[in-house]
Amino acid sequence: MLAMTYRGPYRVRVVDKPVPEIEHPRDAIVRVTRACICGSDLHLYHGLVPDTRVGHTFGHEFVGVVEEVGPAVRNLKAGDRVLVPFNIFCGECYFCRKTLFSNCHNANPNATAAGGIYGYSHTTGGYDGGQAEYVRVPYADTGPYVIPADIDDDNAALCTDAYPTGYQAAEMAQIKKGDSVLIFGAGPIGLFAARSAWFFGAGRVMIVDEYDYRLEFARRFAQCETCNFRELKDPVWHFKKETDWLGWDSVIDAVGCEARGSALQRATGIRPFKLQGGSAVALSWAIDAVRKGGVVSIIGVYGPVFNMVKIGDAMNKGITMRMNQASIGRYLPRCIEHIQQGHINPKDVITHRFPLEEIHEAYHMMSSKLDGMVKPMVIPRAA
Amino acid sequence: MDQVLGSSTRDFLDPPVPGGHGLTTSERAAVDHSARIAGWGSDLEPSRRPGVPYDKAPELGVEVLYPPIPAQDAPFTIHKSTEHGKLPPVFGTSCPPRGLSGKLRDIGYRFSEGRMARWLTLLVADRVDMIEGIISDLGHLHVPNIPREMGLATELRYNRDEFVRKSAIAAGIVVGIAVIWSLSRRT
Repeated sequence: MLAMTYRGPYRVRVVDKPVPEIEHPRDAIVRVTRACICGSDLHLYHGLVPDTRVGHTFGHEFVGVVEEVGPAVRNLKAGDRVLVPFNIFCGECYFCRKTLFSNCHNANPNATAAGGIYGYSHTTGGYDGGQAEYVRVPYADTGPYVIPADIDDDNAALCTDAYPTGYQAAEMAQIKKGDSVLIFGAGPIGLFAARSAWFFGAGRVMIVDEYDYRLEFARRFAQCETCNFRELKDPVWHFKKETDWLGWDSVIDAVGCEARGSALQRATGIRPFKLQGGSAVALSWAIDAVRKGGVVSIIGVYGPVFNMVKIGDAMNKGITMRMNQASIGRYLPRCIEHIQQGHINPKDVITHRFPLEEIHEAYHMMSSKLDGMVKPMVIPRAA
Repeated sequence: MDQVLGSSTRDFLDPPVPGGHGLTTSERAAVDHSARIAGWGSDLEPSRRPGVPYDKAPELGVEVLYPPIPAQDAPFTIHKSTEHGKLPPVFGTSCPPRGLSGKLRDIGYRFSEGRMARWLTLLVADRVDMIEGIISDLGHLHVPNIPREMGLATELRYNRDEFVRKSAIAAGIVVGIAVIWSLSRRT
């Protein structure tokens, strides 16, 4: 089968790999019909995630058709059209029983801090991902979700990560009626967080980014205000002024470890030094911009070591900080209801489609923000 | 199933909701964007929020940390975090550790997740793995097409001027270094 493989920072190659096999009674094999490239895949692509091995296949946002199931899988059968949440989870452990599926303790031998994730390095379990024609799906009796007939593959693919992740970010922000919500990052997660903030009754939503084309996209997709921090001499001052000096009720960091805006953070977190778990500019600005007693919700991904953040200001301001990898299974039913009720059409964020054979171009374009790219979708020839 | 390649986003939605100032108490109480934003306020009630309460099973104890799940056969060394009480029953088998990078990974996994040494060793192993990958390619008489793997053709397609400028600067630096090196050898 064809599969994308990592060759080193900024290099990917499509190769022929053996079709995956059932390795555990609770496995299934899924033929991929749609896969997306996630913004967090770029952290792998840029070589920032420890234990990303040459030959690894990325891809944690995919849908497909069940080809084969292991003997312990009773709720799926060959031919079922499924969306596969990016979390791999057992459904039985301490954390799964709390529906914190992203924190499952039985899917990742390599680390306890992170759960199991498809195609996201050996730091999250060493599972090959869905940017391929076929993929092994562990714990297939708990993870995959049979796609309702009125949900198409494109929308289903967005439900495997980006849309529920953005929704969870907004929910973690504890938005109340009329609240002001500031969101860092106009990528797909930020867009879905902004859109979801309205569901929670926000009175005002603003997205911050550095790319005008993304902000233009955000104004239309999320019907929110936008702000290009590159046009501001002092972004934090501007964010405060926007709220008549109160500060924002909730702030969401949908950027994570590759944030721009501070040469010091970039130099110590990305290149040339890796002394912290990425560049924490957005998070520091979030702590500055939120009002005293407000909520900061972190959905952006950071590395496994410490970061330079303004924890002193966070303490002095009495901020509540909430964060987690999204537990897709927890949020999926409600997110699908929103689609069915016509509140949101997630596939509107897809700007580009590529055959799997040209995925190297998709990665470069997403990394370099070429041709107005927001969200690329990859389509294998076996779809 | 339709597969439209190269499609782009259409102009599809209503204009943004204006803001520009902090809401007063009376404005907050009266806010209602449901006429202009589909689904506005539909999850306002906590009972509509899937993550409320956050802890769905607060009474649980440690006995369910590792439930009795049949163990997958390990076809090669599976690196286990020192912070795991036992090897979890299911794991990925994407890339067996190999060569010098594999040895470095063995070392890295001896440290707990709280140690910088673990993560830096794994990052070094990744870079060594990359070099081993190129050597392996050449060993199989395959010269990697690195510009293609990096997707550089898209730079010429969508960012030609900037790409040419950067290439010219890079070429200038290389030529400059070569000239200086050549002159220094002559003297």
